[in-house]
Amino acid sequence: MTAGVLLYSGRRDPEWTVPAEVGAGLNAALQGLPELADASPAASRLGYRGAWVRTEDGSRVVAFNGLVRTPDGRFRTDPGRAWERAILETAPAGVLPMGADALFAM
Amino acid sequence: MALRITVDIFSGRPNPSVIVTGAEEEDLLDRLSPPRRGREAGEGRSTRAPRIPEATLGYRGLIIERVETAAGRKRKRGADLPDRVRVAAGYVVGERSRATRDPGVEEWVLSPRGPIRLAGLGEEFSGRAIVEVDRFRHVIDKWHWGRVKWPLRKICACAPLWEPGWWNDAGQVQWNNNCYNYGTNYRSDTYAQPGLAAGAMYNAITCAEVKAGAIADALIDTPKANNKCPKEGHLVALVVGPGWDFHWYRKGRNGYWTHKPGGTQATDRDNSGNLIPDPRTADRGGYTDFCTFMVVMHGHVKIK
Repeated sequence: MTAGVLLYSGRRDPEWTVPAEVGAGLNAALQGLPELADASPAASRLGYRGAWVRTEDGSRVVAFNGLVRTPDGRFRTDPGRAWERAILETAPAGVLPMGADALFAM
Repeated sequence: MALRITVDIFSGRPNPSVIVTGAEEEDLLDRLSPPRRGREAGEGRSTRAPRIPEATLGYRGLIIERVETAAGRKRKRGADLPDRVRVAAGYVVGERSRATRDPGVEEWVLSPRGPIRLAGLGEEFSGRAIVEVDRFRHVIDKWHWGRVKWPLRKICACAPLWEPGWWNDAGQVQWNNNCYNYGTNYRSDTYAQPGLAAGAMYNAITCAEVKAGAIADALIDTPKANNKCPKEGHLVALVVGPGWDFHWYRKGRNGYWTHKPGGTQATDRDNSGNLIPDPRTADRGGYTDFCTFMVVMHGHVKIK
């Protein structure tokens, strides 16, 4: 599994490989998040815009600010941004320019 | 004979219409007849009708038409009126324009006890219509009859179309094309970097370095563009967060700017959710340094 963040605009964003067992844990946690009947994606903006994992078919699941958008266009809630934070915590040291709290504050 | 009165007031709904006969018809013809000399002519009131704009929204006058009835007969009164005539602002307008004897004939027709009561629209309609009559008189007074220059040219005729759906496909196009791709309107699917195609990619995130890379890609530095569109090509703007990242905006055909933050969606809003008339004053988040305007000549630029 590959994970990454949406942070830069011109430069390439950081990406990293997630060990299989950690990825399985993220997947299991994702399935446990409550589905939302209706939601809108966050508006595009400059700065930190979320963390993502790439699924087996190459599409991405993006988490940002309490919402998770799956490749089928559906949404799940991410209470306390826990799942988003869990993705960020899989990044090897030095890959991200700052920690999760600083990213969330951008 | 009878007279049909149509209140020319609506745009989508059918205009209300009533037919008057007998004493009410006589009364209407009397009010529509030419003013006698002296007091009826009214001081300062022109005997000739003003030009009446017909294509406006709201009340535009009364249309009076002669209609035949089974017991129809020609009447002397109103003989000078054409078979169909528009009355507005106290004047018969059109072919034989002139003032009406009663300058308030429209208010009389539209009053709750006037002929319009036959349409059964109620007092609320009468009240609104009478307000409209007065409003239309102001419209006539202020109407600009001079030639109006039609804005045929778009503000930035050569600028790319604002077609966010094309970029925001949540797949191949969106994820693999960044602000530089979007700014130059060039899909490379490589997350293009200024200067990379020319072998002169920036070495640091500074205005000077990123601009030099873009110039190597054949963008034209136009620092004095001052948010004005070029005659050919389209205008882009470079901003940087020093040491952090660079970002590009592009000016659209309507004069506003749009941008695509990295692999996320193209948008016409800044970080405060506002439209972007000028990237120098937009909320750019951490991209604090405005570097320069540049021109993208279509077909000249090569990016990778």
